[in-house]
Amino acid sequence: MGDIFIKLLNMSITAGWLILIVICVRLLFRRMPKWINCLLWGVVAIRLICPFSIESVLSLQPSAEPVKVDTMVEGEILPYVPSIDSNFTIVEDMVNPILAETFSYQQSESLAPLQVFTEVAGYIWLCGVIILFAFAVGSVVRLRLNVREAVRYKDNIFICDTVKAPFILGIFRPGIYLPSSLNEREINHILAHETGHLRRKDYLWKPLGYLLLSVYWFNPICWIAYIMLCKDIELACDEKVIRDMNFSDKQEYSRILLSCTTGRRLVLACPLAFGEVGVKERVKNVLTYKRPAFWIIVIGMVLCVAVAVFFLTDPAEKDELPVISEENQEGSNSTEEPQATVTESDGAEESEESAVSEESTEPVFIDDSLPRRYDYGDPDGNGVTEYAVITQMGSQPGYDGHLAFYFNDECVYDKDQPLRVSPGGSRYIDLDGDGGKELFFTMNPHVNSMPLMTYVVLKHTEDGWKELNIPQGADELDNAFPISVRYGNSKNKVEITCEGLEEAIVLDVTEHYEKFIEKFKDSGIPANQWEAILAGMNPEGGSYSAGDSFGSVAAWGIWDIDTAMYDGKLCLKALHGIQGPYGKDDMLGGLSVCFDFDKEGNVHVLGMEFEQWPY
Amino acid sequence: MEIQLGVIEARYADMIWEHEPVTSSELVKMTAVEFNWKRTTAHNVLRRLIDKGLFCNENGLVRAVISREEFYAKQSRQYVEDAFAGSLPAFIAAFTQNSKLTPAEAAEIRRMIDRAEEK
Repeated sequence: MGDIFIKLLNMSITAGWLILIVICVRLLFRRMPKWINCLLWGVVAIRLICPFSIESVLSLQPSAEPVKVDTMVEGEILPYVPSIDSNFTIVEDMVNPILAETFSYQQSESLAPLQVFTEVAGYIWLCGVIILFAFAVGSVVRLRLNVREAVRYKDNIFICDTVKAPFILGIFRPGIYLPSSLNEREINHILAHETGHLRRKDYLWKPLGYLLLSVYWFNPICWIAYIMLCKDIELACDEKVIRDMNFSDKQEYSRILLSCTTGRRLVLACPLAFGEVGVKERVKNVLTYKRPAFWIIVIGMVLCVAVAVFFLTDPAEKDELPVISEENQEGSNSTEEPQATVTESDGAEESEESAVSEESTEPVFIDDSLPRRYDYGDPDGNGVTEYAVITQMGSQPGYDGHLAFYFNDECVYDKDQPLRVSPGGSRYIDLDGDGGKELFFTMNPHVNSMPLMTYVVLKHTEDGWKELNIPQGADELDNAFPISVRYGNSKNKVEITCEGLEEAIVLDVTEHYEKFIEKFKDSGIPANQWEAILAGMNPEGGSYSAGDSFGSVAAWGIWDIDTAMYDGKLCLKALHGIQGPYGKDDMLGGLSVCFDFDKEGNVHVLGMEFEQWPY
Repeated sequence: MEIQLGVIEARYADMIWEHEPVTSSELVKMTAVEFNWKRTTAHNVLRRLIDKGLFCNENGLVRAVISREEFYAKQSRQYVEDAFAGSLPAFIAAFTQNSKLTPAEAAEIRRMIDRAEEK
């Protein structure tokens, strides 16, 4: 109930902007025929009825979701703390802190105060709907009782003693009910008006408007819209009737309007009842009516289309899945952002999120250990955001983390992590070639010195979600592939191999070490060691032989992993740092291992690429 | 005392005067044919006419209390419609709805119509 209420609240706010625009258009373009006004209200109705909307860069809506149930605070999402998203930062900066404070809560409470609030609001809303609905049903029943003694005049036109004013009743077979005391002249004009209503199908639009009003009764702008809709319908109907009348007929029509209003008894003035046009306004409209020029109608239609394009659409959402293209193959380096990290539906927060992913290589000290929800985008594209709930224990690096991953709101992975983690990205793709898709998501453990990205591949089987086996080193944090870095067969050559692949990558490291020495000449390593480096790379004279271990995969393991294409095949590509023997600064380059999975769920290495990192 | 009759009530009353004394079930059949009324409707309107003192119902037999000529002699020709309780709800498509005007306002609008010129 609370969710429904929030969704309707958001829909009514977005519709509210549209209604304000329509009101402005009506004010500015008073010479337009009133049926165009009715079209504009039709656009409003579409906005209020459809829970979905098309995204477009042309949208002038401030936000697709003005009231959010979760809040973004410094790159993290707090669940059940509300915030507003209005695209007016001034307003947001004023209101959101107050909201955050009012609705803050401790993890120990089973229900966030916001949840209680929305549930209660939801039920109050429902009561309002029922009341308005009951009122409508009651009125119709009362009218039907009164016209029981009506007598058919012609076709679907009835005469009735107990009817004071002519009206149309019924949705499927609408009937026109006339008071019995009308004379011939009056009947003709009134019938023209009522028939106009019939042809314009107003006996459908008015109740529809009322129905929408009973759903959105909590938004005062909707009441204003309904009142104006009723006015426009009456005026449009008048215009339809008098379109082809000469002037004296129009005068006569006006007189009949007047006499029907006053009735035979003149009573004390009372304010306009709900949803009416004053007679004066209608008479004025009739007397001053001119058939609109063609170009006015064109302008009107253009306005309708413009309003629809600018306000029926929602602002464009942040792109969550980058296109996987041929370019992605050429080795990534560690400065490339992990894709699709903490995502939100509002593009304005994009820069905050990039900041999160770059900062994630450094420990983020969080003072409390509330489980926090982090969105992982929507890799299966079904409209339900995937997310992880991450708990960080303790406030120093080296403490544990815990991550639970929710795929379409189902928890598919729920494990302790060896370190505190930040969220990464996710993909939903077929990695083992069996036609079904696997879920792949990443995390960034908080480590010092070198970067680390851990990943999980989950396959959906009959027995639930199964974690596929991925390479694991000696250390819990070492998820590198079994890569060896050895002395090559000739001078200054290094050979890189990976288990499962036949080919080796051979590097000539001469230039690398020349530059390495140059760069670190003053670093404190004695001069003779420098000479020894280059001399030592000679397999003939040195104390090592080809095949001896030379360097290693840099700590901690995989630096970056994401989907990629290898030989036209979709796969995962894991970037490793390749390090020489002379410490952290001796980075030879980056080795990307491309792999997928076989039908049994084992890793199947496809190939590797090396990119030298020049000094 | 002036008794007001609506146009349809008048037609019904005429029908009764023409055929009285008549059983109420006969009336039901006749109004079904003439007006397409349900049984309850015929009885309701009959009750109204009886309350207005035109007819009486003795054990299902309807008689006139006052003759047609006598009745119409007493009436002026001004029909006043009976207003039903309550006003029209807003979602009903109508000709005019519930607004009421003071005599001054009505006069003003009448003037507006009479003085309007063709543009």
